Amino acid sequence: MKTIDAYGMQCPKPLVLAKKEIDEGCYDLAVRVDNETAVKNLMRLGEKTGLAIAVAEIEGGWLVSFAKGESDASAVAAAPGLSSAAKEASLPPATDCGYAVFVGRDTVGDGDAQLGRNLMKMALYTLAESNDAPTSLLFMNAGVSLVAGEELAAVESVRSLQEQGTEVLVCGACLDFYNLKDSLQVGEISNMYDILTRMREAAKVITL
Amino acid sequence: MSDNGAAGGGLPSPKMGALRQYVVAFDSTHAAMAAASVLEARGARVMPTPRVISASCGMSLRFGAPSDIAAQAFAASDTDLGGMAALYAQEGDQYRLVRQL
Repeated sequence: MKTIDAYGMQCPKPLVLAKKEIDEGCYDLAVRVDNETAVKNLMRLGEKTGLAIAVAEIEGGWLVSFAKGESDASAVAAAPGLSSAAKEASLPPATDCGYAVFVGRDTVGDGDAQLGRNLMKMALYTLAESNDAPTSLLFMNAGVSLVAGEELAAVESVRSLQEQGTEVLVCGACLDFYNLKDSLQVGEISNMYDILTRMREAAKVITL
Repeated sequence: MSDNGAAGGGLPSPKMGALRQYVVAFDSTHAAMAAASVLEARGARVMPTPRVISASCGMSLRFGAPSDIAAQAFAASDTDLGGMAALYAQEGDQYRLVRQL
């Protein structure tokens, strides 16, 4: 089992680190965290990914373990600050965490289209270099053309963010509308439900 | 700055002084965009001008390339820069002016 030591890390760092491991196929995973928010977010990650979760109190915090299979309600009994009903259902309440970036167009701002497109590429590059990657990056409408097509600069930055743990969701209806479904370079084909859920779950949403 | 690695006789520090990339800063956004439209196909990428390079419009090009590829690309392009751009080498956190273009 791989153990991530996330002591001293604030939301959403433990979540991002755990998600990265799971995305890379590591399901036998434990995370040491020292705050309740991190425990709740990791439990929600288990629920989202369909992995079983166990929470144990350890010195200085909690050990949240992931494994393939069904969650056992008793395995999360040590989770902090949950009502007994929530524990039974193993569904902690949503905890706002991290930030989402919504890209609903292929330019930043209105005005000259070529300038706007360059500004967008610069913005994505700046995000990728910032050491504070968003929890999610959400593409809709003309924004999907940035990750589906020949625009390598944008694709490289988005790929870098994905490697840093950012979840990249791309509107499937939009790819279909612009006939870009076969050209998707990076990200996961998604839908309005998931994209709006990520916006709702984020502590803040930046719209480019 | 005075920590181990830079001064010692062992392996050079992987971070300090290592050439990361070349950056071309422009006086004019129009020139930056014109250059970008020619040079993106050869691996150049737009980026915001690094804060430490003050004499520039906000848009720069970067080349994550081994030495002189940036300069070669500029020499080979028909973009007229009229001395309005400067080539920098990023070494660690520093940007060293290589020459005016």
